Amino acid sequence: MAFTDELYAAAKPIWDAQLEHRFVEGIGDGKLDEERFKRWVLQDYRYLKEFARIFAWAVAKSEDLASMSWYAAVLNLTLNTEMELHRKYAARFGLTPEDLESAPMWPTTRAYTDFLVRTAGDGDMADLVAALLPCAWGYVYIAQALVRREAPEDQRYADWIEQYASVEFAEAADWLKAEMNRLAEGAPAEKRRRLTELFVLSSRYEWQFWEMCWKGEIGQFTPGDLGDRRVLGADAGQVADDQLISFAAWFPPRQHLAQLGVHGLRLQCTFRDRVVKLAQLQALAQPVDDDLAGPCQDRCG
Amino acid sequence: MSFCAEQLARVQPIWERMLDHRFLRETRDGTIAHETFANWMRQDYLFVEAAIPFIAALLPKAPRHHRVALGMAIPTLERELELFRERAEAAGVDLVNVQPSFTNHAYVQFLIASAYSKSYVEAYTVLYVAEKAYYDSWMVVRAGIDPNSIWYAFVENWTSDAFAGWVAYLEEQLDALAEGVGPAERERMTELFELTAKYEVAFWEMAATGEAWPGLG
Repeated sequence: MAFTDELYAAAKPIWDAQLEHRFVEGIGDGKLDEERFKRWVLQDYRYLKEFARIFAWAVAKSEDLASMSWYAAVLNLTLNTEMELHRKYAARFGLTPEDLESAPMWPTTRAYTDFLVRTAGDGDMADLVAALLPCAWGYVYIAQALVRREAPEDQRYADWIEQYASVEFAEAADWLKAEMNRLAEGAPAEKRRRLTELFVLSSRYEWQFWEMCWKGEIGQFTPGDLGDRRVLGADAGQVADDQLISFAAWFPPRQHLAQLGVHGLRLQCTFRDRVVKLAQLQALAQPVDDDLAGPCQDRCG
Repeated sequence: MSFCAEQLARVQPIWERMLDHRFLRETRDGTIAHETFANWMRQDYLFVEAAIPFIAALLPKAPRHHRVALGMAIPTLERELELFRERAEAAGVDLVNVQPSFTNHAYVQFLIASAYSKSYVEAYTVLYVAEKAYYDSWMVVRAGIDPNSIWYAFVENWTSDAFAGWVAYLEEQLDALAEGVGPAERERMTELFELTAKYEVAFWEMAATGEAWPGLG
C-alpha cells in the first residue's frame, strides 16, 4: 500500500465531505450563485500568491536537482501563467486585477496559508509536501469527480471543472504523490504519523475554504467600526444574512445585539434562536433558512 | 506620538472589546464555569508551547542587543508551562492529548509564519501586541478576583512586576525600532498590530464558547 493511499484513507471522510459540499455541488451542477463563486475567485487569488511561496521553500529545501527543477518550474508556472489565467478568468465574473489585488484576505485563507508557510519554514521536505498535497491532489480529485457528470450549462463553471480535471493538473498531482511516497519511504512510524496529521490538517482547511466561500467571512473592518457596520448594515438591508452568521466566528453576536438596541435575549439560547429572534425584530434583511443557521450553533451558544 | 501609543489608540475599539470580554469578567467575578476556564487552560497551554519556537525563530533575525532578552523569554515560557501543569493537577484538568481549536491553530500558524516570513520589526510587533494584550487582559481580572481563587496563580503570573517590566521593555524597543522603518514596513506593522489584537479577542471568544473546529465539532 502506497503511503499516499494511507493518507487518502485517513482524510477520506473530509474528502467525501468536500465532494458533497454545497459549494462544490453547485459548481458541478452549475447552480452555484455567482456572488458566492466570486468569493472563491478573490480568495483563491490571495491563496495562490502564498501557495507559490511554498514552492520557493521547496526549491530551497530539495536535496536533488531534479526536484529543485520541478518545484522551480511549478513556481514559475504559478506566478507567471496560472495567476494570469486566474486574472482572465476573474474578468469573466466582472472582477478586475485591482479587485483581485485589493481583496482582503479572509480569516480562513490567512489561517490556511500561514499554516503552509509555517510548515514549509520549520518542516522538512516530507512535511512540506504532505501539507501542500491536499490542494494539488484534492482539486484534481474533485474536478475528476465532477467531470464525469453532465457538464454545467454555465460555461464558466464547465471551464473550471475542465481545467482542474486536465491532464496537466493530474500529472502534477501524480508527480507530487510519487514525491510524497519517495520521501516517506522507510520513515519511522512517528514521522508517518506526523505527515498524516499535516495531510489531514490541510484537508480540513480545504473543506473550510469551500465553507468560507459559501458563507462569506469578515473581509475587512477598520478600527472604529470593526465590522459592526455588517450587523448594522444587515439592519439596513445591505448585508446578506449568511455573512452576518459567519461573523459570529470572530466576535460574539451578543454585543452586536446590544448595539442594535436589542436586549434581553437569553444569553444561553442557541445561535439559531438568536437569529430567529433578530429576524422577528426585523433586524435582518431577509429570513434566514435553517440550512445556513444550523452549522453555527455549536460555537455560538 | 510613539508607534505603540498611536497604534493602541487606533485599535482601541478592538482593545475595549477584548477587555470587556465575558471570559475576563466572569473570571474576575468568580462566576466562570470550571469547564470554561479548563478549556482556556488546555488551549493556552498549547499556545504557550508554540510561543517557544516563535521566540526562537526571531533570534536569528534579532539585533545583537535584543538577543539576551529574547533568550531569557524561553526559560520563562517553560516555567509558565510548569505553572499550567501544576494548576491543572490541582484543578483536575487534563492537559494530555489536547487538540488545538481552529482559532488557536490559526493564531499559532500566524505567529510562526510571521517570524519566518516577515521582517524582524514586523514579527516583533506581533510579539509586543500578544504580550501587551495578556497584561491588559489579566489586569482586568486582577481588579476583582478573589485571591483565594484556584485560578489566581495565572493572574499573578501575567500581572506581576516582572511581566509588566517585560511588556514595558517590548514597548520601548518596538517604539525605537519603528523610528527606523520606512512607510511600507510601517504599514505592514500596522496591519499586523491590528490582526494580532483581533486574534486576541478571538482567543477569549474561543475559550468562552468551547469552539473546536468548524464543521467537525
